Amino acid sequence: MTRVSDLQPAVCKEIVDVTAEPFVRERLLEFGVAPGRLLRVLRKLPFSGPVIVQVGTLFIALRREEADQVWVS
Amino acid sequence: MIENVALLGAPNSGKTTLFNWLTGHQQKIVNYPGSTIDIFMGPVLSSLGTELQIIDAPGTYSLFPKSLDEEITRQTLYDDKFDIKKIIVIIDSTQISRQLHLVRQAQEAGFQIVVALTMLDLYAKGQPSIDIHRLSLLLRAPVVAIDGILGGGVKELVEVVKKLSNNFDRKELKTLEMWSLSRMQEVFREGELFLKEFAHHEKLKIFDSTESKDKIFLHPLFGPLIFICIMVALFSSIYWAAAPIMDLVDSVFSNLSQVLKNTLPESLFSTLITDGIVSGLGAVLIFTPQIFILFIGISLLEDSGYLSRAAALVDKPLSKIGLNGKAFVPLLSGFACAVPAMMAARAINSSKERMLATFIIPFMTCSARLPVYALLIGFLFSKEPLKAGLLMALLYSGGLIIGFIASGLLDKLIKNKKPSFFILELPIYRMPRMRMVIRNSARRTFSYIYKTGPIIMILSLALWALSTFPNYKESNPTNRLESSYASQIGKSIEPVFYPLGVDWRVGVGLISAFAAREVFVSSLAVIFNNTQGSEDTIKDSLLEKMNAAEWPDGRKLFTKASVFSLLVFFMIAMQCMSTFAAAKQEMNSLKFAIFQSLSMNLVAYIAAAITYSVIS
Repeated sequence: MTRVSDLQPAVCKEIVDVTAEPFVRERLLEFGVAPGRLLRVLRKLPFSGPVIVQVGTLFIALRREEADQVWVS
Repeated sequence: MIENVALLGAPNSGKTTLFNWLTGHQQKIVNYPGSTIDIFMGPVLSSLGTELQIIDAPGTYSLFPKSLDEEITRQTLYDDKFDIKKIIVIIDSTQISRQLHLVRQAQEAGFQIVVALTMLDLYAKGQPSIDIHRLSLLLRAPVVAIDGILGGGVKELVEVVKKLSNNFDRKELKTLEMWSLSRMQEVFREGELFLKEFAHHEKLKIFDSTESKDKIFLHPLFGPLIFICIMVALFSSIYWAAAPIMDLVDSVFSNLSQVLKNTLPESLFSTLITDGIVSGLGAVLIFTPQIFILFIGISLLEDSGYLSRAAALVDKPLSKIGLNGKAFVPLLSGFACAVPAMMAARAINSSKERMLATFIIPFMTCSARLPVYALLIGFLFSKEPLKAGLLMALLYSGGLIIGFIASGLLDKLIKNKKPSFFILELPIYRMPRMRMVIRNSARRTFSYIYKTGPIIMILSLALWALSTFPNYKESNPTNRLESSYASQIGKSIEPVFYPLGVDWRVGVGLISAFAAREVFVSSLAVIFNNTQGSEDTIKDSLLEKMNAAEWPDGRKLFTKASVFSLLVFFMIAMQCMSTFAAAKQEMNSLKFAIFQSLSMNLVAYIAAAITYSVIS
């Protein structure tokens, strides 16, 4: 298992777990960041800024803290 | 019998566009009880049939709210006052698998729904599009395709809504429990299976072009550079594009006031009309061009898809002072006016971050400070435009920096109830449509006037009364003011103004500036008997009068030290009653508003006193 924050851009992986605390996890799930779906890191903003990922047809910006809690295969 | 129908859809799903197609110009704004959240209502256009009223609450991703906006949307649906039985759920056709949730939640709650499918224009010609009939079977609800550009499908949508049953008791509506993970996954799977079979949208070209545009707009070097350029362009347009319109509004009102003065017989009633009501109206309307242009700029950025990228770019720096990227738009709006800025802060998820943002918004240099800065800087450096410009820039960044320091300090002091998070949808880049941009900006501007107008009006009347009575029969304005309640108050607390290096006359100006900052300039004009002359010369002759003003012992009143101290005071102080009212309403706490005003004004006073004593 790898954290999304450690992924290199352009690699497409399957999400296996979302360990964020309930409130944040809910929002991630609502955005489609759910186990079983495919996720791709598009880019990481400089100075440890947000990570831009694509899940399905949606582009999402996540803080590194949130990306730390999304696990991919 | 008029039936209320709610629109329910995620942000960026085309909800507002649909609302505009359904209702045209007949929109009115209602406040959700106990809050300042805007809910827009309007009857459907008569060409579409009558009997329906559409209710448009803020966009939401689910019926499990994560911010105040979303909470209000959920409450609206359940509120007996709105009596909603039927919902139009808006689904972006490129986001079906994710937005399916909202359909299922509305159904589960027990509402009758119809689905409006939008963004079909993103599918290129000849590409396999979505099978609407199949989608309707999957959703177990009627589906109508909406053409957001030409308004196609809207008539059909209204027909379908009318046919929905309303033959049930709203008491049967259920409040939903948060879905389990497996329930959510099931709905995703449903959507994905459907897409695999009946649509092929994962290959849409628009996603590739968005990705390549992000290579530039989110580039480590070009990204921030482009961001700065766009902000500079936006700011200069707020000031330069708005200036002629503001001058127009100004001259219309001062001419109106002049004409009324000349035609009406001299009486208390005529001064009430000219100095109270007309100038109050002018005070309400003078900043609307600027606010309208700011809203156009923000709408353009929003509709093009850039605004979310800007928020992502500044999230990291803002997180250092306890804020997040979503505070970007509120802070930006604060440079035009704190009131719409505080309203924009509702979209911030965490209540602590929302409070911090609301607290520091008045530190942003709003447009009402400009006339004051212009006058005082004009006094210091009238013949040195370079120094004047530099000082102006210094005051702008000074406010911003003090705001950031305040936020950082409060962040350390206040405990977090809910975790801070930043999860933001980055919509695809699209060409904004001017018609919608203008219409939405007008809608927001009206909402602003509607909220601040009455307060500003009442305060200008109060100020008029204070500066007119008790000697209202006196015809010389300067004498009338000098014997008025306002100057009696000013004189009795004159020692308070000594540390700032000014006397009671400037003190009256400072007090009157609590109605709105720019009033400082007009009250100085009255106090120093400078009411004659044309538009252009008022400022120049006021500067002359200021130059000549003296203390009783013959010292100059306006010196470098006292003017700098005034500038510092205006940079920090929270002097605007509308902002006070907005802060109280938005935070739903009088304590917050009082604490904010007191602490800002105290800091402003101390800083100004220090400035005065250091320079002199």
